[in-house]
Amino acid sequence: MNRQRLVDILESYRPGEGLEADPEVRNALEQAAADPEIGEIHQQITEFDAAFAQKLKEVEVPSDLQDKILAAASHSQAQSPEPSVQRPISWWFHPAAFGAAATIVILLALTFTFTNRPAPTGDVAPLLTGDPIAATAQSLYSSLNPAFKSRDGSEVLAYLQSKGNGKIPVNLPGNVAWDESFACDVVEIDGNKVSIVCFRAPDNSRSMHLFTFRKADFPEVRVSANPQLRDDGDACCATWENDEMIHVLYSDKGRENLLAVLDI
Amino acid sequence: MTESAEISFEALVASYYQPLYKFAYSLSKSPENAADLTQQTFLIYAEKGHTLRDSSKVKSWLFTSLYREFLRQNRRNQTVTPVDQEILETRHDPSLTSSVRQLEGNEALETLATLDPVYREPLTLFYMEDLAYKEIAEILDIPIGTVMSRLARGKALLKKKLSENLLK
Repeated sequence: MNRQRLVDILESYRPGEGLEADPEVRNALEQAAADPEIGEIHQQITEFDAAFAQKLKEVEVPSDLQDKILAAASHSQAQSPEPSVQRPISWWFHPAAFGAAATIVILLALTFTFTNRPAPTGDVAPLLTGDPIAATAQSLYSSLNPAFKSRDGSEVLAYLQSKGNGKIPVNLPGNVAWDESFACDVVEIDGNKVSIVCFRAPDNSRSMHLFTFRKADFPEVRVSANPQLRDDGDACCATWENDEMIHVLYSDKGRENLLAVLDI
Repeated sequence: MTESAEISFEALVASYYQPLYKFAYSLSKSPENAADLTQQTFLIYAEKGHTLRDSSKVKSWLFTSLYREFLRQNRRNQTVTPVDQEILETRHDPSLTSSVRQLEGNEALETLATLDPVYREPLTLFYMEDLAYKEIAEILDIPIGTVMSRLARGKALLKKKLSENLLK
């Protein structure tokens, strides 16, 4: 064994790892015990490691980090649903942003079909009344429990591709990468498919949701190619069309994230 | 979340948020990103931790999750760095150890952060002394032998950097 190899072994040796079972390691340790020069190197390696490890122990950790983690986890937990076989009416994100509209939305979701879309009433929030496509998306949102969840965006994309049968596009808005997606679903209503992709908002505060419809399923609806934004308290959505598809991008926390995603 | 689960989660956070933060800092080189990564790791645990059947693997699971989250977030910025094959004559003398003792904790971490991730990652986990080699190998998804060879070379590079800093 040459000297460099010997030093490498001593550098990577740590008691308690069971490395002594390796004849080469055992040989190096025996040489360190028998040869004063090698023994001195081994000693210096040990002292250096102890000193450096001590310095890492002294690295300051933000004093409020622990509290922030617990608060974030508590907040996140409060927004999570109980596991259920059936799709829950309340979603795994808190519906408080909808305020009084929530009850109406839930009712609409329960009765929603493509051929019998919910008719807005005077009690319905502006987001619902202003745009039938947005209303549909919001109805889906209120009852949504994505069938597929993954932290790997490529898996989300693959799921959509497998479920969409080529009829549902799998594009995200320009400023969003698939890495940001974490859940999706393809919902079928009256034989028509709607794709839903959930992804992290640019500011990481909440999630955003993209609903994609086929224009042919809404023949009487005219949608601009330029995103049209509508607000309802903290909730905001953008609706636009392209390539025979209608998209609704939905955020329940303000329009800044929408603007960032759409680059407008 | 039940009360016992809350206590358990709080204990988990109390036990591991500091080493996780330090590992995250060495990966991201940014206090803000390190805090975000640490927080995100515990949120992942809150969501998926119930799937972990062997409670003795929690520590390793958390570090692995943090590392994967870091890689996921930085996938687009990653570049493949060729491993430097220069033969290094490792410096072993008491003055280097003495100079390390004079460093502030953050200075030590910043020096570590100048190394290529290939060496920085196992070295950070090694010096935190929280994880066995087997666990380090699992977290970084490399064989134990590779962990050891990277530790040896990483230490040589670290000592070289520290020596250069001493001369400045």
